[in-house]
Amino acid sequence: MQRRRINSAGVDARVRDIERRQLGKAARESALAWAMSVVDLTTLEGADTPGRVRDLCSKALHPCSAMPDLPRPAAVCVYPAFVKQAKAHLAGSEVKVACVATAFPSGQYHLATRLGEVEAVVEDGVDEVDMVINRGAFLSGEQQRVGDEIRAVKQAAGPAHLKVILETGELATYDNVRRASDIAIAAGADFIKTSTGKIKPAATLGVTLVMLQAIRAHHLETGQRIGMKPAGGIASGDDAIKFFCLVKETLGEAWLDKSLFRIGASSLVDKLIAEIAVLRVDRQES
Amino acid sequence: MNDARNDVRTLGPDSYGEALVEKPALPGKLDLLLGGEWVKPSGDTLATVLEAGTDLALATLPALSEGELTELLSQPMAVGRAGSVSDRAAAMRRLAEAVEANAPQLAALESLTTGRPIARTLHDDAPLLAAAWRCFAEWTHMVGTADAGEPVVVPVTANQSLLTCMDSLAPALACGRSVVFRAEPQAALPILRLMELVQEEVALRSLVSLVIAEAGESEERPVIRPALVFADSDLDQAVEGIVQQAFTPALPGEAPGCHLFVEESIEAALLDRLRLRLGAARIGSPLDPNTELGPLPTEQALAAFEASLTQAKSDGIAVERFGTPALLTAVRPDQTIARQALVGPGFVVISFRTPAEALAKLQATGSEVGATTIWTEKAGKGPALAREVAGRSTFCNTRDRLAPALTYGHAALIGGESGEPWPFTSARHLDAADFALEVEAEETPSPFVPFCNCRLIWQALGI
Repeated sequence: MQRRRINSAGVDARVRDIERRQLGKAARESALAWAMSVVDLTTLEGADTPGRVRDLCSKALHPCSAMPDLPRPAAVCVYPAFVKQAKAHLAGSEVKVACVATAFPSGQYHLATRLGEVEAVVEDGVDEVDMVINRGAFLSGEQQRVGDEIRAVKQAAGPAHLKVILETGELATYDNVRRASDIAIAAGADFIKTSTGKIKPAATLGVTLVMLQAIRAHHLETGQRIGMKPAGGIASGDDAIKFFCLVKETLGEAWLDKSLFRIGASSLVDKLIAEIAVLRVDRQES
Repeated sequence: MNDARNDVRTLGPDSYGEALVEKPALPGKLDLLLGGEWVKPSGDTLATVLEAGTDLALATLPALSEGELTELLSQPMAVGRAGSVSDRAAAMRRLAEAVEANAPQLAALESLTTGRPIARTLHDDAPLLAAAWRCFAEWTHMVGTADAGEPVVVPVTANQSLLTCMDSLAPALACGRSVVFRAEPQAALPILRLMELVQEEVALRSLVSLVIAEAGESEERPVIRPALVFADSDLDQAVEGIVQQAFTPALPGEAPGCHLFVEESIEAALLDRLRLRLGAARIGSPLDPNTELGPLPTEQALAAFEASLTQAKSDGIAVERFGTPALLTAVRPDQTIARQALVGPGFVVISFRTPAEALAKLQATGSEVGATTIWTEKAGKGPALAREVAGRSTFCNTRDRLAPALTYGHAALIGGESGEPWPFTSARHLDAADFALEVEAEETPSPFVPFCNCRLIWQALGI
């Protein structure tokens, strides 16, 4: 695998350009609704309870009673213990159940333990598995091992879609992010994902751009489309729109679909709904 | 919401909305400025300034005819009296603040007349403009006050950015020398506004003059603007840089267009990315904050551009179009299109196998080399090639990113993970007279040696 070095000044310059995009009201409303449709509605707290998961699933099925035309989030993302319950709540809907696995968030358990966890959630009917890579192995130079572990998890996940979390906040450099992206893609990831949400910085535009460029390079070489999921720290409509522009201008319209792009967030949906409501009132009054 | 016509995902790249920047107010003074006094020219020649993109008339300026200009420049110019070193430094610091306060107007005037996107003029250039005033304010104490002499005459071409005018203005005022801008009408409005700001500073006001005149016929050789992309570079970021390069002339007097020398092993990968980038490029009104590339050629330049593309096709060269931009691939250096400057946003792609072959093919074009960019992640390769290329200035791993003290005439080497400028600068000056100074400076390759962009200071001090 060819090792690419990233010109960080160039990445940062491009990101500054993207951050300055300004959308008119109609385009903004459309982009916010799009963002709703690609959110993985997430709860990953130690204090999660069946009641909390039930409420989250309800939110996914009925995001806003006042605006029933708003799209549902793409998935609900929970801890392994809640997969069965979430599947039951969401049965019959298009909303997927995603689950973090492989000793989330550290990834520092024996491989057998991690694979056992994946097999268990697959048995519970999970649609998507969000695995963390072993950053310790990556940073100590055991990159072959990182790739081998992803392959093993991919096999254990079977029909479930595999999202590989790089935890970019711990990889520290764009070079590492690109390298980890290339390893994950080569090992069979369906999606690559920035962060667990437990480490800051999480989903910055810079690391997302570097990961999108890795996806683009793979697509140019093989024709295969890999998905992208920024997660952590995306908390407002403005944030979501920046990611919209970044994806649209880097990978094109084909990636603006929930089958290829997701946003991992816990509090974003309510803010999107509030902003869309304001824009609609403005539109009706004008 | 589900109406495809309103779906922002499926609309074209120019569909982010209606958020145009308002047209700026014109400068209060539209006259000539001689030694700090606004005067109306004796003749009745008028020049029309056009809006970039639409070619609609924006303003009418009093201009000098060629004869009047020759007569004016042949006479001893009034040499203004400079304020003290401290007064000049304080005035330049205040001008930095004034530029920041007036940045939206200055940027919009420049965008509207040159076609450079407002995203570039407002967010990239305006902060550097202010920084340049502050940088050279600190120089005043080091250089003292020069003996009075002939004013420095600075031609300003139609597509020249305000930032590159600072390359002459700030150093000259730092050492108390007079400057006469000889601006083409199309470039005059932002400079007129800048001159209004300078006129508010007593210590500097008599040092500046501005005359407006159409450019005369030029017999200069065409200048090509090469980009050399090596296999070890970050291709994604290189594409960003060379796309910007193809649209925006880096130095005064240059045309848009890029001669792209690319290492053969990555040629296909680079062109794939370039095609995707051009296909998604946001090209539109220069006052649209979402426009990222420009200016588009004027009607006259577009005709010349199309003629050169037709010629290339007849020479058997493959020409791909992305709206106005063009990609010409598999070009040999002996073909006509390789030996002339492009006058529109396009790429003439020539492949090479080794650095030596890249230089040989560049030299084989027989053209003068203008602003050059080199894309490589190997720290030693950039500066070494910059010397060999001998272009007017060389940038490594950056898309015309300019430091305030490096306005032009020097390389900005940015690369590696840190993104910081490398502590080495290598370039070729515009004037042979400066070359000795440049060589001397290169013997001390320290980031703290302030040899950057001091051409006019040395001239003014007679060094």
